[in-house]
Amino acid sequence: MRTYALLLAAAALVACGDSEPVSDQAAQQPAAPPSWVGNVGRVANAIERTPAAADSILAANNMTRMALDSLLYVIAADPALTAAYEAQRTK
Amino acid sequence: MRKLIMILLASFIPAPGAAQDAAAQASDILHSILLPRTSQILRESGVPDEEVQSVIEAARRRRVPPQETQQVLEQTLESVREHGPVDNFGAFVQDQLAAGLRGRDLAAAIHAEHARRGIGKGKKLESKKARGKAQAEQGRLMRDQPEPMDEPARGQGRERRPAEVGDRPGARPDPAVRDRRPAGRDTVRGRRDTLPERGGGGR
Repeated sequence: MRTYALLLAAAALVACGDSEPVSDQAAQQPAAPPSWVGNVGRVANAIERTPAAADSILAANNMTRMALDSLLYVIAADPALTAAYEAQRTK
Repeated sequence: MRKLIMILLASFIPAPGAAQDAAAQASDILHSILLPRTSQILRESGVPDEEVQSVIEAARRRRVPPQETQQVLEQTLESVREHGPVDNFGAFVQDQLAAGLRGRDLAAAIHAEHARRGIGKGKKLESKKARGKAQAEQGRLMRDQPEPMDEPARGQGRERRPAEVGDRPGARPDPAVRDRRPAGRDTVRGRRDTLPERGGGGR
């Protein structure tokens, strides 16, 4: 029981010690765009190369046309997501 | 047998209608994937972010296909380049979408609106957030400024002269200044002075 309590206290101390620098870093760095934005960019690149194979490209990426449409709307409405998408598109 | 071969052959030849559908679908998806880029260029052209966002949100809510929205934004971009952005663009497009306008009709309405209310070629609209921030800053500066010691008389637009101190009951007027006033008229703020003439400052 004592060991368990000591472990808990140690974990709490570590958490307290780490929390400040991490929050500072988070405040300084802009939030990274979600990974799905990059995936949508890659899918768009592939579709642009072979538009006739759009359906098979979408299927290979577990995506439907409706899902792609919805994601494109989400990206277009947000400047940060748009920047991440365009960065992937130019690769 | 010949008939069977003919039927088999016919089944392998794609129908022209199907080919057209495939081409249209390919074109649609190629336009769709340009939607984020067009929205970005529109923002860079001086249309505030919240306006672009509200148009995109409204189109999504009304289930407008993204390729159609992309084309509308593209035509909007042309109008913005020609006439400059318009204030409350997002609200205008929302109204048009609510009225049932789509595609070319919507693009034409947007173009007409830009021709009518565009702020000018190459000009940019400040976002409402930025405008609010600037107004708040201006208000803060106004509050921080020290109050003037002696405000100009309301409605007169001039400073009080030292001699006018003497116009108050009980105060001595400066004779030098007093003598420069028009004869027979001794007024403060547009009304006739009721003080009796002291004849050279109360000697």
